[in-house]
Amino acid sequence: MSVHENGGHVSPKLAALDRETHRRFPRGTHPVDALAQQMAAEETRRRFFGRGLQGIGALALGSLPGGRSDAATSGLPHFPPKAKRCIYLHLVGAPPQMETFDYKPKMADFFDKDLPPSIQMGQRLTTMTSGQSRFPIAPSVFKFARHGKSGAWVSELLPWTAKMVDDIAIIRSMHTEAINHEPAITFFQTGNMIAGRPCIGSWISYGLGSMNEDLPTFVVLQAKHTHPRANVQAISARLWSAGFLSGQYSGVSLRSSGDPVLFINNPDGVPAAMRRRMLDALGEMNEIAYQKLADPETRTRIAQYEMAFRMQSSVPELTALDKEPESVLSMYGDEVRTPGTFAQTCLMARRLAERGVRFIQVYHRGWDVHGSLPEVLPSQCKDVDQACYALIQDLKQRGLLDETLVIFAGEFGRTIYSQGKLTPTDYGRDHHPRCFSLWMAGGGIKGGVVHGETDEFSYNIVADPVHVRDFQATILHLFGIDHDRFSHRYQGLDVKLTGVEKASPVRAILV
Amino acid sequence: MNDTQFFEAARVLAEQAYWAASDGNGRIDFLSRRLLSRFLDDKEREIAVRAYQDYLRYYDANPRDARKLLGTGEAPQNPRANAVETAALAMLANQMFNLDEVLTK
Repeated sequence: MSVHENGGHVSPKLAALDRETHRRFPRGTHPVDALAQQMAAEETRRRFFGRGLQGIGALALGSLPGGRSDAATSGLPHFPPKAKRCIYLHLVGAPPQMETFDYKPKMADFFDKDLPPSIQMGQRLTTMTSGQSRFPIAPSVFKFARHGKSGAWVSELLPWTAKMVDDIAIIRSMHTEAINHEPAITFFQTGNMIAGRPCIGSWISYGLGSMNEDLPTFVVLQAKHTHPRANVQAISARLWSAGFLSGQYSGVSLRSSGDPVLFINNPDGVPAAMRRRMLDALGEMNEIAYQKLADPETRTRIAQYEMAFRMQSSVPELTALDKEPESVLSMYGDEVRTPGTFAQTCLMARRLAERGVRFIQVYHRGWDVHGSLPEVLPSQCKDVDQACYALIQDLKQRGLLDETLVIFAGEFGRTIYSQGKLTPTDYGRDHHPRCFSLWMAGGGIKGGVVHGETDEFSYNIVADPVHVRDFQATILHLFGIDHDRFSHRYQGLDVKLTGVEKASPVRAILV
Repeated sequence: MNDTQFFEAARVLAEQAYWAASDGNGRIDFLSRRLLSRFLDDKEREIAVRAYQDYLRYYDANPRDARKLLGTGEAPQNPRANAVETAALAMLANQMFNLDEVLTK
C-alpha cells in the first residue's frame, strides 16, 4: 500500500512493527542503517537495485572488492598536491597557433604556394575547406620576437603575455582528434567527444571537495568579446555538467553582467529571517522524502538551497569590485571596470580563487577565425592579453600562484593554408587538430619552459606530442591525483576522465 | 526559489487556498493536494503547521511586509482576503513549491 493511496497514514500493524524494530535496534544500530549510509554516500537507487542481491550483500558487508571506484574519493589525494585550485581560461573557437606562439618564419617564402601533400599526409579536411581547389599557404602577417630568459617566441599580438614567458609553460605540441568545436571542447572538458560525462571541474569537485562553505566549489564565468564581426561558437551548460556524478558537482554559472545570480535576492516583503525559516522547514520536509526514497539527489537539492542562501551574502561581497585597490585595477587595464569583459572576469576569477573556490572555468568566445583573421585576431588578443598578465601577477603578489593552476587554451589549432581568398593582407584559417599551442602556469607548473615542436608548416608535431588526455592527466597530477586510479563506476565501466587509452602527465613542465 | 513568476504562482495559489477552506489545516490540505497530489503525513503536517504559525506570527507583526509580498508579480491581489493569513500561506506555498517531490514530478 503506497503512502499516497492511504493519505499518509500507516496501518496499526506496521506501526507496531516499526516500534518493535526501534526498540530492538536503537537509532543507527540496525544492519540496514549501515546499508542506508552506504547508499546515501555513493549510490543512486537505480544503481543499487540494478546490482540485485549481489549488490546488497556486498554493501551490507561494508567491504567492496578491490578497485571499486566509489570508495576512491576517500583515498584522495593520492599524493601531496601542488595545486589547490585552477583557473581555466578557454578560448572558444580555437586561436591560430602560428600567430601566437608557434613561430614559422619559413612560411614567408611559401606565400600562396600550395600545401605539399607530404605535409598534409591525408589529414581530413572540414567541409568548409574540402571544396577548395587550392590550399595556398598563408604566412602570418604578424611579427614574432624572443622574450624572457627562456627566449620563447611570442607574436606581437600578445605583448603582455610576452612579458611573462618566464612565469608560464608553453606547449606547442598539443594534438587532438576532434575537428569541430562542440566535440573538441567536450573532449577537452570530459574526455569524450560525446556529451554525458563529467567535466574536469566536476571530477575535481567530486574527488577533493570544497574549500569553502559560502560559494560553489566550481564556478563558470563567461566573458564577452569586443570585435563585432568575430565568429562566435556556441557553448552550453553541458560543458560544465557533472555528467553521471551527483548534480552537486556541476559548475555554477555566474552571469557576467547584471546580477551574477538571477533572483538571488528575496522578494519584497520576505526578510532574511523568513527566508531562513522557510529553508529550515523545506529542508526538514525534503529530509523526510529522502528517508522514504533514499535518492541522493534529494540531499543534493537540500545542499543547493543552503548554498543559495549563503550566496545571498557571499555573492554581493564577491562582486564588490569597488573594494579593490586602484593599483590592482590598473594592472588589469581599463576594461576591468566594465562588467562582462575578460579583464573583469579575470579579476572575478582571482577573487573566487582567494575565497576558496576550487575550480573556475572561464570562456571567452570569438576565436574561430575562418576569415578576416588579420582584422579580428588582434582584437581577440587585445581582449585577453593584459588581463592574463595581470591575473598571473595578481596571484603571485598574493602568494596564490604556487597553488593555483592557470590554463590558457583553445580546443584545436588552425591550418597554415588559407580558408577563402588569400591576399597579402587578408586570409582565414580552418580547423586543425594535429597541432596547437596552449600555456599553463602556477600550481606546480615550471615557468619559462617551451615544450614540444612542430614542423616548419605548423602542421605536424615533430617532438614531444601532448594529447588532450595527457593534458588532463597533468591537471589531475597537479591536484595530487593519479588519473589512472581515479574513476567512478558507471554502466559497468570504471570511467576515468582520461578514458581507456594511455595517458601521462607532462613531466617536462612540472616543477 | 525567488524567481518572480515562481513566487507569484505561489502567492496566487495561496490566495486560492485561503478561499478554499476556512482553517489552517484545510488550507494546508488544499496546497498539498494541488502540489503533491496527496495529503501530508503526520510528520510533514507538523513541520508545515509549525512553519505556517511562524509565518503568521511574523506577518501579523509586520503587516506592511505582508502587503509587499502579496504585490509580487502582475496578478492582482484580492483586497478582501486577509493579508496576514494570505502572506503566511504564500510563504508556505513557496516552501512547498520548492520541495524536491514537487520539482521532480
